[in-house]
Amino acid sequence: MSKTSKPITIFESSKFILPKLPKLKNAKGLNNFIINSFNANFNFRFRNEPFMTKSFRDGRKESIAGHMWGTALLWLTLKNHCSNFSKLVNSEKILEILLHHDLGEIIRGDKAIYDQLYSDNEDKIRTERQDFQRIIKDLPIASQGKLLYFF
Amino acid sequence: MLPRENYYIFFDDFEDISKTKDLEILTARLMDSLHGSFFVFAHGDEDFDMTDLQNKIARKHFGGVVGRIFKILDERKEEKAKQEITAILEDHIDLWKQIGVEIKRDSYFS
Repeated sequence: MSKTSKPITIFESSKFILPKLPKLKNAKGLNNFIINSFNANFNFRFRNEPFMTKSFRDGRKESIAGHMWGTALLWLTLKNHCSNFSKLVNSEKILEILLHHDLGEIIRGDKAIYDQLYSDNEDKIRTERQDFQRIIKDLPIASQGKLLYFF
Repeated sequence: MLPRENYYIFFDDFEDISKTKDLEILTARLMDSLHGSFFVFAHGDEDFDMTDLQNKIARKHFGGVVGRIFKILDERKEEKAKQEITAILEDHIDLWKQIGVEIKRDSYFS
């Protein structure tokens, strides 16, 4: 920037006036949901997989958030290559499902595929559903109902 | 976690216990299943010694979901859409093959 040029003011209060909007309904509940969901960044999958031990020890972990993002990215990528199939489905709904689908693993973690194969898996279903309900409990009732239908 | 009815049964091979006809839920389940492999594709396979287990996992992940999707597409006579899903799965089998894991085609298409 030359000495003569005028400094740029990014945020001039006199020019930037926020419109008065009604307060967000249930803002605290929505914020709580996002705060709780952020823990998906810091919880990891594959912890007890016997064939993933080395990867995990080497720090090649996949977070729950990373996994959900990956599944969404996969659909966004593939849907462009299957135009006939894409016409039959609601992509927004698929993304909504994918971006929520493992939130129930945040509290007690993922159950290893190995354990799933050699148990009746009822425990995983029940505990994840309970934990999922805990995470979404601050959302409006209608949103909770929709998400519980998916899961 | 996606609903149990979207999984295939784990021990009794490919008996179809899937109930949902919701294509979005089934598509999401398919993405969830396919994505698990990409962790391996991204990181290599040096600690993968799981041919037998892999087949079981592939069965668990793909059998019921793909079977249900195909059934719905058959009912709706959506042959082109079915071909597209088939092509995606064939590519996926090839990716596994490239890192030395042979997945039985039946694991996907039963």
